[in-house]
Amino acid sequence: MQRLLITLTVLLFAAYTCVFLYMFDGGPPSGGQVAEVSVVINGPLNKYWDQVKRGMDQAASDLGAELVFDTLVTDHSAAEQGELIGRELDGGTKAFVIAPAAGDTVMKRVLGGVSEKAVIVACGSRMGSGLADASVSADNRAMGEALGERIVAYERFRPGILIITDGSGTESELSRLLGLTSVLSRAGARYSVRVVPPGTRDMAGRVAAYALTENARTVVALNSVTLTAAGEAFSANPHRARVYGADSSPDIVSLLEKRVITCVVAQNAYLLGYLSVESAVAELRGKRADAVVPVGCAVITANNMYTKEHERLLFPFGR
Amino acid sequence: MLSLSFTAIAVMGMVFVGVAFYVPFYSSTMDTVSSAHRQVLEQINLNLEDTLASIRRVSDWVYFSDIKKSAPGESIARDMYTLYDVNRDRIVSISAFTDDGKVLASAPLSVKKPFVRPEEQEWFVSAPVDNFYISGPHVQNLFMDSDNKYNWVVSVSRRIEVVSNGFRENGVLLVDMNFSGIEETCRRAALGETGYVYIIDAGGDLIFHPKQQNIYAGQAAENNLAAASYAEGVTRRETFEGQDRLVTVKVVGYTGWKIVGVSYVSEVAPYTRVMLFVVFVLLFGIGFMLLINLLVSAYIATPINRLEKSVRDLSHGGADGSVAAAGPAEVRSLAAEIDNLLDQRRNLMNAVLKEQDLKRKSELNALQAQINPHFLYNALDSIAWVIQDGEIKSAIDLITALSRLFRISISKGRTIISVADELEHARNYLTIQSVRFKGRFGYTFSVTDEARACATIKLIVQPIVENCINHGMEFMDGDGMITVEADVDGDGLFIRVRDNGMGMPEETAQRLLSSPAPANPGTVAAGSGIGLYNVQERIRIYFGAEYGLSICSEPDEGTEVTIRLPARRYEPGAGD
Repeated sequence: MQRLLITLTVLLFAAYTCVFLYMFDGGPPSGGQVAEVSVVINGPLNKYWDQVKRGMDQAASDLGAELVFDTLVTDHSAAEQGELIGRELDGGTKAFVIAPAAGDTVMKRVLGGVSEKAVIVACGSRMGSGLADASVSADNRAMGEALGERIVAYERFRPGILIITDGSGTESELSRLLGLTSVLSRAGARYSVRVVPPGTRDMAGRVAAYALTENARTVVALNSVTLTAAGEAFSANPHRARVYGADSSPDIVSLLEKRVITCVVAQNAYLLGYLSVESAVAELRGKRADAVVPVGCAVITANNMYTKEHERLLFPFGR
Repeated sequence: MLSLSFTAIAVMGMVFVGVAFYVPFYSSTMDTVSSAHRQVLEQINLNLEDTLASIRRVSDWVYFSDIKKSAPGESIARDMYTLYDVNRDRIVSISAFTDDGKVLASAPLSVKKPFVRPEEQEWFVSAPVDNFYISGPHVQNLFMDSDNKYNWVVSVSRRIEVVSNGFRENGVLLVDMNFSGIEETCRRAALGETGYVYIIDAGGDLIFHPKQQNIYAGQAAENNLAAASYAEGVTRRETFEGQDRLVTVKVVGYTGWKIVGVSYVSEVAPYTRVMLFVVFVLLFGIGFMLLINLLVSAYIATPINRLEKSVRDLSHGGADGSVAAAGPAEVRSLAAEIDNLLDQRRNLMNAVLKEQDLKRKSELNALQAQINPHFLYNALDSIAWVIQDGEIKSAIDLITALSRLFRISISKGRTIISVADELEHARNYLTIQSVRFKGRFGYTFSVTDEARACATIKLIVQPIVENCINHGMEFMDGDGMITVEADVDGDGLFIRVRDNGMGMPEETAQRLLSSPAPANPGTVAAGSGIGLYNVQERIRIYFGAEYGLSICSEPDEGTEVTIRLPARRYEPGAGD
């Protein structure tokens, strides 16, 4: 018995010493392995996505992740996006941050079984729980409603409200449209909706033409691309129509400052990028991220754009 | 308990030594970390001060070399552009404004945005006459930019005097410092693996933080307000959001800003390693000491425990040998001493027992000796009376009875005799006394064979019978009766002597047994009292306090004296 006890004690001491030496030598690398995350946005890189990317880069730096940033040649091409995702998946990528190029129905077909093999985080637009592990976005319907309330307050007696949508069918576009039209309908405002598909050549000219056709004095665009086009359409003649829209970029801010754009509802693009990568890394490391991660938004006009709060939202600084 | 005590002492010693080594090491490590922090912060401070100094130099140059010497116009703008171009990594713009916000000169951009009112901005309003105002970081929005660039800047402004068209007017000279330069300087600072540097103003508001956007959005937090109160150059240890951190503060000249360096204690490599080493050594030492102490204490405690058990057994009379002697020399020596002590105690006890036995026998013999003359006196007195009456046969019977009585009394010097002999002795006595008392009483014996075979001390029935005669039969007239019975009940032998004489009160009966003094001083001559007490004491000395006499008596009814003895079979030659 005593012999057994001594043997056990010696073994225990030996094991203890080995554990100590292992730990003293540094132990496992802190934070685990480097997380590789592929970001696939829904179009070419523009100034809006540049802001989002800053947040993503900061998150990758903070969390020890490595980012691969993929952009599409054709704006909102679900097929191209699916192709890129498939290629990354074949290359061993285990986590994706995706800005959906289309609605859930199309994305389901495009993504196939990707969600079973890799972590998917939807960025800027929410996706169904079967498609994405988490969705990081502002409440798009609330953004549309906020825009609608602003328009109702200032424009309800002006004839013709033209709503420009890209027709991509993404949750962000549809929810903003639904939120906006529900408020306008409730207020009895007349509006028309025109689709300007992504990638349309001379988008600004198309918007101007629609405005002329519809005799619209108020134009509303629901994403940064169409809003920039709408702003450009009336930059030479800002009195022709008042432009409202969602999202922000330096170009949009410039148009806002010039009073070409009257008002925007903007979400924190930097934070959108940061939280998307953070959620993907968390999922990749086995922690359950929230299914919906909300990002704050604000209604911004030329008069309040340089308040401290809005300055931070519109002009994020970072990497 | 022994091993625990040893271990506790050893652990205390190790902890003391550990602390003695750890404290100076900790102090030294903290000094090193603090020094490293100070160096990094000093470097950033130098960069910042250098940048600010160059901005001030640019501002001085523009003001004193251009604006003061010539009227605003193309030449000043050109000089401004040249200075901007030389310092473009630090400067975003140089501009001069009139008091009502008109641009006097500006570089590199010069067209003011139509809706911007410089005269309402803080850097304009706060610009001092003979010094500089340094703003917090903000977005520069003064000039039209075809690229729609919005730069974060720190504005350095001063009041100026401008001579235009022969008139003096006041204005403000603004140099916008590129904030990204400060940002990059702070980001590059390395404080451990994940340590960082941030800048606050005098009130603790963030000027730069690597996670500034997250902090503004409520996704992260910083202990900046507390840091604002920390003394400069001292590395403080603080716990923030559950993390143990080292924080050093450096105040930037001119601005009142504070550069705050943060690193994590867990990342201070030597400290962590030594901590790990100390903990390892401590735990290893405790484990090792525990093991050694268990073995040592077992080596010491086991013989002591065995010794203790031996002594306990001996004290309870369980063992009669020597105590267990094993283990260290000290324990063996102790065992030998205890053994010696026990031997002495044993000898002493034997001596005491022997002495008590001798004393007991001596007392018994003394009592025995006390009874013989008393009885002899009564017997001879009876014989004398019979002879005097001329009753020869009765005298012969009396003497024969007396002879047998003495034979049994002597019993070859033995104290223990059979019940049969004792009762025979009593019968002889009664024979003598019945002659003496001329048939005033009769007597009967009823003895079982089992009782007859039992052992008793001698001469215990006769004194009782004698008392029956002297006190019970004295006034009887031929109808007196003495009955002697003996039987065994359980482990007790009971001999009962009963008379139908005068009896006595309860208290008198009890007094007869408890005191050698005569129950009635007037009857000492008749020999009463002393006999019963004598018998009682002899029985108790020999057999113990649970045996002896009991008296049951009723006045005018009679008396029954019961002798209770242990029922032991009589073995000739045994018991004495």
